[in-house]
Amino acid sequence: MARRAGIRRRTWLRLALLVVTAIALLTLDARGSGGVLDTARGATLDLLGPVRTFGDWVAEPFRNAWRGIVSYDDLEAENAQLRGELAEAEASVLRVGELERDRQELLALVGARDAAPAIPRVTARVIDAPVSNFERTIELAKGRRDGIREGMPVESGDGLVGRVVQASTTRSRVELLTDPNFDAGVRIVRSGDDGLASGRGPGRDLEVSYIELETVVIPGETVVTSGFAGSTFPAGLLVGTVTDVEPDAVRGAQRVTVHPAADLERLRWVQVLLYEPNVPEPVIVDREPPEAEQ
Amino acid sequence: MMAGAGPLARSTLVLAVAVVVHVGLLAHITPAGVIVDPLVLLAVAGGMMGGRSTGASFGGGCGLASDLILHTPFGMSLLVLTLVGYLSGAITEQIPSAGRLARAAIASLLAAGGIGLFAGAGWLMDLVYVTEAPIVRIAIVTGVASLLTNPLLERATRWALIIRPRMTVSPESGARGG
Repeated sequence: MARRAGIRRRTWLRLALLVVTAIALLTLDARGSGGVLDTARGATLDLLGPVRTFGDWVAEPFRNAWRGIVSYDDLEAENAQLRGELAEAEASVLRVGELERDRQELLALVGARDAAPAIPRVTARVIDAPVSNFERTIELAKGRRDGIREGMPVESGDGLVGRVVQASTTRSRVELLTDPNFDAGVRIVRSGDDGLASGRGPGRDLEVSYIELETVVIPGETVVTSGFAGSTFPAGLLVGTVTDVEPDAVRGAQRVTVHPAADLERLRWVQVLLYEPNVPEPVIVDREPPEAEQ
Repeated sequence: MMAGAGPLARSTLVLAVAVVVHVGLLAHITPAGVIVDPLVLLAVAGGMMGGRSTGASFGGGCGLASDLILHTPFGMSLLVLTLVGYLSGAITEQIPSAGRLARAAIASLLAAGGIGLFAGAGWLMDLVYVTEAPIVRIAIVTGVASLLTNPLLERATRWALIIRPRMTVSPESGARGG
């Protein structure tokens, strides 16, 4: 009887110890002080990287074949549409090239420096298989070794995809712009009004807040990142287009819904912008009065 | 080589194999669009084979491994799979004489329940990407996967935890494996 009670006590103790450990880890993670936890996750990401890549390499032909079978008509229509878009893009490239040449010549004429130098980019392959049903990030096959750091913006050819939230030596994880934790300063191009875009969950459009009631916003307008000082995004990255506008009398602002430009369901290759924001340096105030120095 | 190894080394090996199978193979095979998480199935099998105490520890190990590869809050899988392992052990202890098919059915229900527990934890932590996932579909597919793989997983956990087959005495033939 006493032995059974001892076993029962030990079982409860073990369970309590495990639950307390889990709660302690959750607290550490929530407070963002999980340096060791992030390192452990990063190391695991690196360690399993080759397995993921190999699995992806093996599965890709089968996946493509399956997609080809089940969505042949869609693919054919998409192919025709892409050919049209490619022709338009080629014409645009020529026009943009001419404009860029003109701009550079003008800058040289007035002796001005280019205020917005091109941001270096790293192209990375998306590992096309989440490891969980509750995944909110995508995994890239490049990491710190390639210059990628936490906070860097990620975009596809269509527009902004999200930001890097974890970078290990050879891998990185990207939080998508639809994630509820995601927010970014944005600008409505036509009016020039700034707002804050926030994710609302997978498959849902973004919500832009702080757009004044007086501002005229029309569905179909383009929304880009505003790139205000200290923002993790440079100005001018395409976010999406306005789909809906609702006045919010309580807040005294409009609630603007924006559909992301990037197709987040079919990401194969993305570009990480090696951009680190210029955080203003702290101003050091000299305590000595100016007279004392003289 | 592992024949003389203790339960800790064996369990670590089983968990490592499960993680590799998970990220390298199961992440690419998605019946009804669902990824089957072998660590949930292992936590259930560990609890059913080892009882509530060993089940809690083995489930905790599964949870820790899961926390390392997922991007959910660190500790969430540890908490959920510890409870899954413990509850699996506690429930199985109430029905010690269940046959192989009954055990597989119980494992199936427990695995589906584990997904529900995970969703519940996600709801408590206000994780939209957990609560808005198709929980019922994930639970059904996980339950079916557990039903099909339970004999294999029981064997693996029995080896990992060094549990001898239960000996039952039959009047005619003496001792035999249960």
